[in-house]
Amino acid sequence: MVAMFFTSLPFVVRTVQPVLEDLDPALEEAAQSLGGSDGTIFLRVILPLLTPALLAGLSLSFARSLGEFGAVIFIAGNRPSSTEITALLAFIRLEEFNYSAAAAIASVLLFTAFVMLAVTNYLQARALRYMARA
Amino acid sequence: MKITLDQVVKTFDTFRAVHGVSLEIESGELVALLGPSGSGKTTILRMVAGLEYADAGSIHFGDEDATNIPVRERGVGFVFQHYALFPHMTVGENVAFGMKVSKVRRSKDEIARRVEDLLRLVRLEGLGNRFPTQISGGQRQRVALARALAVDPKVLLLDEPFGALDANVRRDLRRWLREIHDELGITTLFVTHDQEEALDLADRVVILNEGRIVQQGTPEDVCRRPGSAFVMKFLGDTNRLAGTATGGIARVSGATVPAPGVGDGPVEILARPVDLGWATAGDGIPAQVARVIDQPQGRRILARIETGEAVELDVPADMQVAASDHGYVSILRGNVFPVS
Repeated sequence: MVAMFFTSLPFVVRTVQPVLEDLDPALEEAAQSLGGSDGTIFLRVILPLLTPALLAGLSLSFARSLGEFGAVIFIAGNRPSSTEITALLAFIRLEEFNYSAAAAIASVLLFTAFVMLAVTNYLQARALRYMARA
Repeated sequence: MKITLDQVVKTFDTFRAVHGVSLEIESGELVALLGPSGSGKTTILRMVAGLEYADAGSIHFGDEDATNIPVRERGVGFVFQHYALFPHMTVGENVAFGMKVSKVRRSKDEIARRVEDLLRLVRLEGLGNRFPTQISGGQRQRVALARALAVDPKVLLLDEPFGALDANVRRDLRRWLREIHDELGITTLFVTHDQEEALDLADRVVILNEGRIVQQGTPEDVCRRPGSAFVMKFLGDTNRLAGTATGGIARVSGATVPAPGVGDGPVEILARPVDLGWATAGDGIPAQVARVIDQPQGRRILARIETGEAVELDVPADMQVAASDHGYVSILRGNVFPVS
């Protein structure tokens, strides 16, 4: 987890940053002039506008984390049943020439990745529904 | 709510945007701040709103000193140049935003009813469920106004409200804003660089240049009695002729203009294109036509007088005139300012 946090954070930051920079400061000022407190403005105006970018960053970093094993092994070790990771398991089976076991593990990974992709796509479309033109 | 600005100063880094501006806006008045870009008009508006703070001077709303009250407590409605509608909210949610976040608790029904009333006021009934990207620029501007009005502001402030719209929509919205103002009687201050818009809409026009008020008055005052050459030039097409004044009369070659109260010496005579006449014979400044432009309301002659200065004059549509014709320019009306 900790390892993934550090290797994946840049993906989220890099996707959110340009959106944040493009936000019109007038939106915040408008919300202020309508009496919104800083907290309300963040929750109701800024955050919803960042949601699509946050989701994109999240799915990118998740995709990366699924296949990652270098960073995890260095930080968490590879203790059986507690810090073992699927990608490494598949790799070990492959080295043992146990192709069917490797393929089984890999297909679980593949499936998870697909589900994740579908979910984020759906959420992103929902969050961006206001961009649809009449 | 009466607004009083007293010796307000604002400096950005090293650039002084507003130099000690004092201004009174009566309750219920519709006032335009008019000036070229960089004249400090938007800065003044933002200080009245509380989006910027004055470095010196004070701003009063009625008897209350509002100089240091933050924008969210100042009770102003602000309409931004590019609308600043929340893109992820529908039109209805945009209008309701101010009521939902306010300290005054309102029931859902109450908010829904008020949103509907406001959308009717800005003639957008039935568009409450659209998103801002799904409506036209003029409609967005009206949503922005409804949103600003939703919180019952004491004053309404508009920053270049029609700047981003095309000419026809602009004219309609102008008349419509005037109607809304007359209906609600809310003190309104708006910023524009478009003199036509200011004259069309406002009770009183405040003309700014380089962070100072150069003239203020009714549209009639500023048009008919411009206080300086800058005001005259800024308000519309102007011809400038160099001349000399002696004994209250300004002279250019072949023409004279009364110049009451202007001291002897070099002067500039400013006249609108309609204030110049054209004749092929008689008195006037000898000139040669360079080009004739046909416009719906008449013809405009671009001519060069004998001193080499270019003048533009408007003549009736049926006047027979063509390029390279010779004739005489007479000054029917003109304003004379000493050359400083």
